[in-house]
Amino acid sequence: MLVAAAIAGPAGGPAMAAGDVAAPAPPSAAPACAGDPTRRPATLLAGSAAQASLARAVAQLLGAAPPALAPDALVGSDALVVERTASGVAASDGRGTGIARPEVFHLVVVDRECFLVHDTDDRAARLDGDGCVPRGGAGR
Amino acid sequence: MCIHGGAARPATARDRAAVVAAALAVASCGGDSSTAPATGTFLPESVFAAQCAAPRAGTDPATGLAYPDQPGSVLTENNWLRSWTHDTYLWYLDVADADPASYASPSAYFPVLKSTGLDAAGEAKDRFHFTYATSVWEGLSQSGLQAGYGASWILLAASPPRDVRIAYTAPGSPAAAPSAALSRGARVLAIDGVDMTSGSDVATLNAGLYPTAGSSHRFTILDSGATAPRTVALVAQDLVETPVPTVSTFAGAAGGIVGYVLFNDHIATAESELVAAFTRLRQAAVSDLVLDIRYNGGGYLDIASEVAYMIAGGVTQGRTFELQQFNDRHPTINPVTLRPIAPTPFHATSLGYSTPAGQPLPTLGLARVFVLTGATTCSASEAIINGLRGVGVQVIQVGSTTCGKPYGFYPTDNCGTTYFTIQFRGVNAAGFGAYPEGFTPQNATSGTMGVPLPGCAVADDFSHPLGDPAESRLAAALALQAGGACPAPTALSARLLRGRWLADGIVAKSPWQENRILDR
Repeated sequence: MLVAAAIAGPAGGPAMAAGDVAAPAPPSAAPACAGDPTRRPATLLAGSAAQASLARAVAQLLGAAPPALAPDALVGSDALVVERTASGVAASDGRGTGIARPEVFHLVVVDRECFLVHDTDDRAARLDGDGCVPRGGAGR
Repeated sequence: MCIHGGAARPATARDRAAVVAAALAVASCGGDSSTAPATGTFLPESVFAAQCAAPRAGTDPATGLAYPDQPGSVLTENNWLRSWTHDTYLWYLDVADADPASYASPSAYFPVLKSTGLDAAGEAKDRFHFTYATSVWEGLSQSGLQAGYGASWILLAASPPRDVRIAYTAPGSPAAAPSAALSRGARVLAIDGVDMTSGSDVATLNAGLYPTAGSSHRFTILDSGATAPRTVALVAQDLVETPVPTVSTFAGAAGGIVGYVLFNDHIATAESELVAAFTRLRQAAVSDLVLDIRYNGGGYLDIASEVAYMIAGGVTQGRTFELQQFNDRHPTINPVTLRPIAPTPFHATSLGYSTPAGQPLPTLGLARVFVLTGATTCSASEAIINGLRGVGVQVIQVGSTTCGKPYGFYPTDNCGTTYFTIQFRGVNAAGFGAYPEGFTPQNATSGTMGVPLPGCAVADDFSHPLGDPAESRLAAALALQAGGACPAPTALSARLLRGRWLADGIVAKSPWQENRILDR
């Protein structure tokens, strides 16, 4: 399991207000709240400024080096799964190895601001710039 | 990190820091890490851990913690390998006690720290002994992301006269675009002017087969059924794999509805795709299933367990999917996690790989399953077969012998190299795990002979798309489902590849192995 360098919020903490996570750039890590009714799933526009800051946000939440991401990451889905690079190596060369558990993130919009939320601990990092689009419907 | 098991604690540099502390304590009590112990004497690996000829400085990006490395030497690194092997290698009694001081580097020493024995088929007992640079192994990427054209190659012959074909293509990829229109079965005749069959410029061939994103290469292709070659230019992109690309149903010839699932990789994103696939099949009320894992090399064992549950359902309740067995020095405690050895159950709920954790999984509740297999069917894919057999589900195999990997390991870093050595075997609920030669359809007459399963030996059919009921392996499975017999055993011409006699080729999806694929 990776250790996040950013400060983690308390699990099951109070409902998040927009101001709680509206930290200045670079992307901030802060507790998000799964039950927040204002939180809506979101996707990114390909090539947008928000997408350009995605790898940095993932790195911040994981306390790791920025991962390799597809050009259409989070474009068609609000979910992002990150795992060890070598999974392809292991699974494809006849050795059939597995890897550590993946890191799963979801993209949400809260009060017109865009956040990447780490499913493991519900911490969030804000994505800067335009290009984050709510998918509509109720928050997850 | 747990390999093949998935649920155990990662073995990271953070762990190494604790190991170093223990090592210092042990060393102060008489252990000497600066010399080679006497033959037959083994100090704890902790005495030598993280004492490096070239210590890393700074912070490990995978953990956020400082590297545990301390100044050491090649000898301390070799001593660590020797002790670690003696403690955790599954076949440690097979390893000759080679003098660690006689080897100039850990990379020279590690290869001798393995069994040189042969299995019952006369093949190397240990075919899974390798290393990666830790920085490479610990890199992160979006699940399934690889640079390529969206074409998966199958190496029917990796050495001259080479035979490389397209196993399948991904929809929407450069390979499948109208400008290229590559499809299953097409043979690669040349890359960037280098003849694939006998060309000596292996570097150019590998660079074309396993490209970096943005690179462009020209392929001379002979399409399946064509008589004249054509040339296409392909530009590699970062592409995300779709591990479950095809789900369909067929009307059984003798009644019932037969489901078909093409499952190519046990990566994290497979979980959500599998849930969707089995939900669809359950809604279609399928009475039989053909699971196509001919190109599935394995991955997360937990996902294999989920698949097995989604196939069989209630019969798996409370049963063991797979149990790890370590060497005789560790009968009850996992030597890596230091936890009691516990079985992997059949998972009836999702685990959070790409579907929210804790959601009930759909299940078909089948008493039998047809699996389409090949030489690339490995590890976690074989665990599906073995796990289901362990609880009495009939597994009917169509294709050729699987790879034969009932083993697993915990990748372990020391001084910037991550070592992979076999540390455990997996057994099913019936205590069976002896399939090092794989599983083989019972009427097979060529290739490596593994544990015989009911079914049919059928060659891979590159003249039809995967999932086409006319494709030979799927057609044979559908015929069996309808009560028919196997087709006449195919005269498969077995080839020696990586020490194994294979009746069909190896699908390579990764650019990382490029220099080990094509031989001069």
